[in-house]
Amino acid sequence: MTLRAPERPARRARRRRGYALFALFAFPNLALIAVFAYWPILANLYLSLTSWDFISPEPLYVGLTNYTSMLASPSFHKVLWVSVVWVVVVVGISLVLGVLLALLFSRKLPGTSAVTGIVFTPHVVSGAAIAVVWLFIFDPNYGLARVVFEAFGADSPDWTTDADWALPALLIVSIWKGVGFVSIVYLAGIQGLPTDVLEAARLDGAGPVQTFLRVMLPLLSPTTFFLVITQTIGAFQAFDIIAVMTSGGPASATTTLSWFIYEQAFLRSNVGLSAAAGTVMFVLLMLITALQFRFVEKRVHY
Amino acid sequence: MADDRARTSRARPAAASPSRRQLLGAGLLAAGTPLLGGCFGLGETEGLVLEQPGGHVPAEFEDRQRVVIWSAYTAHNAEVIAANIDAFHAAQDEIYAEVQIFDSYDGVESKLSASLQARQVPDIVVLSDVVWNRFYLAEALEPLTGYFDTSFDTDAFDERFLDEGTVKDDIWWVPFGRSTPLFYYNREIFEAVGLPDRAPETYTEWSEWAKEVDGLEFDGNRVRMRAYIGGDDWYFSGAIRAFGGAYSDGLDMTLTTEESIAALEYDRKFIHDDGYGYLAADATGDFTSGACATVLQSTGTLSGIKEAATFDFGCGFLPQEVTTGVPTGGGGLSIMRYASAERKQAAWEVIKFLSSGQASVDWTLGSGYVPCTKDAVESEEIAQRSAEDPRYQVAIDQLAIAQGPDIARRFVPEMIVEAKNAIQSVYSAGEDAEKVLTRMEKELEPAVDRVREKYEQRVGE
Repeated sequence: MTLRAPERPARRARRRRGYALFALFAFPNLALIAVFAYWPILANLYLSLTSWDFISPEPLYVGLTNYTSMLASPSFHKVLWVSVVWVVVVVGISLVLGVLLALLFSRKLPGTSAVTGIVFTPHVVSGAAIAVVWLFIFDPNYGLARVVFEAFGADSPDWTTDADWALPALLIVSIWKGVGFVSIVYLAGIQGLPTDVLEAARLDGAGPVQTFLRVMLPLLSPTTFFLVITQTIGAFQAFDIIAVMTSGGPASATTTLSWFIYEQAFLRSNVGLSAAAGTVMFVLLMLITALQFRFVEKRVHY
Repeated sequence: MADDRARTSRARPAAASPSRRQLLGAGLLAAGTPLLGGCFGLGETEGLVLEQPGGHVPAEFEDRQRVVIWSAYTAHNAEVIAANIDAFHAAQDEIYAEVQIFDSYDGVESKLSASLQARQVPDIVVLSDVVWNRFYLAEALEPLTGYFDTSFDTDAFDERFLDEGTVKDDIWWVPFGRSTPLFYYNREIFEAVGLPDRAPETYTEWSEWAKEVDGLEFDGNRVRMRAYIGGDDWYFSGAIRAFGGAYSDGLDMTLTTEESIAALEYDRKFIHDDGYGYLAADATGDFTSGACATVLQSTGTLSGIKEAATFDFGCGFLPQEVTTGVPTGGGGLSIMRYASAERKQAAWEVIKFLSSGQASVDWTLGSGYVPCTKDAVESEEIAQRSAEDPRYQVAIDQLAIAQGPDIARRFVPEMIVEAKNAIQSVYSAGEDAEKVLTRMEKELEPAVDRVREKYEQRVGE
């Protein structure tokens, strides 16, 4: 057992100064997080227990009515289904295409830098601008898609006005916009792989496909883990492309959770239900992220 | 093992009774609820005055009373308003009007809702024929009847349009950019297939004429008779009346009557059984490029179609069926109740200027909206334009049979979104009309219940 000597006044003063300095540095950030993250979450939680149209003098407390009616509604089930399809397809295809593109870029073929830049560009362009361009491309009467389909002797589908084609159309645009970012992150990951391991695989007789599947992909798992989390959160929040191209239609065919939240609040003036859907989205994202950390991270080779 | 025991022993009491942490959380939530509740809504509104939104006042107008207008008019229409506001600034030296532009009626509505929470309001707002009712129910609009005087009486406005903005003998919304849909048809296509140079008189006739157009090639396109618009239920709100149905009778929904179903079933058959029509991404663009022979579009689009079309086209009344079905639409002006008395009086002066004399004539000529003020109706310039191009006169003549929106469309905010969903389900996915309208009526029940009390209190039967 050791006894601690009483702290001397000078040391205590130094510690206090240290705490004060810490508080000084931390406070602005904590205040920002509290005001722009925690407060909106709490406020949203409160609003989800009310019935309010944004402009009435005060919200009316209705308990869990918004949650029960929303979770029992078939149209909300459809929204959840569309959201799941959206997230799985966007994240899945972006990752597969992204890693393949990164492999291609890592070979340093002539013109790679230019192509890399071109592939990355859609990521930095505004989603609204991209959506407007794709609306022209998809126009069945005078869009580029018509020319392509006519070359094969077929009619272009009514991409954004056919309930069966609208979601695939938006998925194409969303993947096209996001794949550049995924490929650049994967490229950075590939360039950071230990060359001796790849060399050893080659010496042991592993072919390119085997090397990619058995050596590179497992080594890239931290990158994949990072991308799965960020892309999943991003896909859940997709809004701009949907807003400009289809406004969630036709017949709710492209209404994801994020559009549903907007529609309820600003087009239907149903703030309570919108807030309840926001809370569902928050909980879903927290759950998905927690599950990913709990189960997927175990398979990550750092 | 020891670890498991410890975990179990900790878990059991928590399951039986709330832990200290849970109690603390519940206490915080209970204490926080009134605090959070106080953060939303305006609370007590008696005598409430809210600030003006920020902006920029040029140095030359610094001493004037500032009036902020939130406008939904963009592009060329915004230029016409700007010219009229410049004329207003030159005509007097007490008021400066600042126009802040939004992309649409929806844009103004969203921003106004948010600004009420931020405890700021503009002085004049452009609100659509539907949206103003919501702000009226929320008691956010200023009654305007008391502002009229002998120099600018209520007869300054078209009576029918002014009635739309009147509730319980008070005027809350004055007409500004009002419109109705018109029937546009491609004369060259009609002539090529031997159709008469007029709009069809009934929806049935329209359908019969469509057989003639079916399969025709025009400007490299396979022409279909009608391009449907799915992003707006306005046209369907007219058709449903023409078939003898309606969205509602008061707040009682009438979507599932035989007549209402017949209106949507007509569209389903037209598109999916007969293949005469389709849901368009850009109906106006398709009409002006010759991809479709006919389209229903706003009177406000007439000038734009004239500019874009490379062929001769005609305009006519909307078809009838068992009766007429011509909805009015567009926007009007309201003054916000929570502006100060000085701001409201100054705002009224701006409305007076924009709604009378040359400003009103220039606005009607420049925007393409139908004349809705006395000065515009009696204007020689507007009469001359109608004489030169009778298509403009069609819109004016059609006003005689036009009607404002059904009560549910006016006062139930979810109605338009649900109606758009319903028509898209039929136009796009070909769903059964009766099934869709039954679902729509059911989905709207809670929304109708939410406004019923306020509606009965503020509007009554």
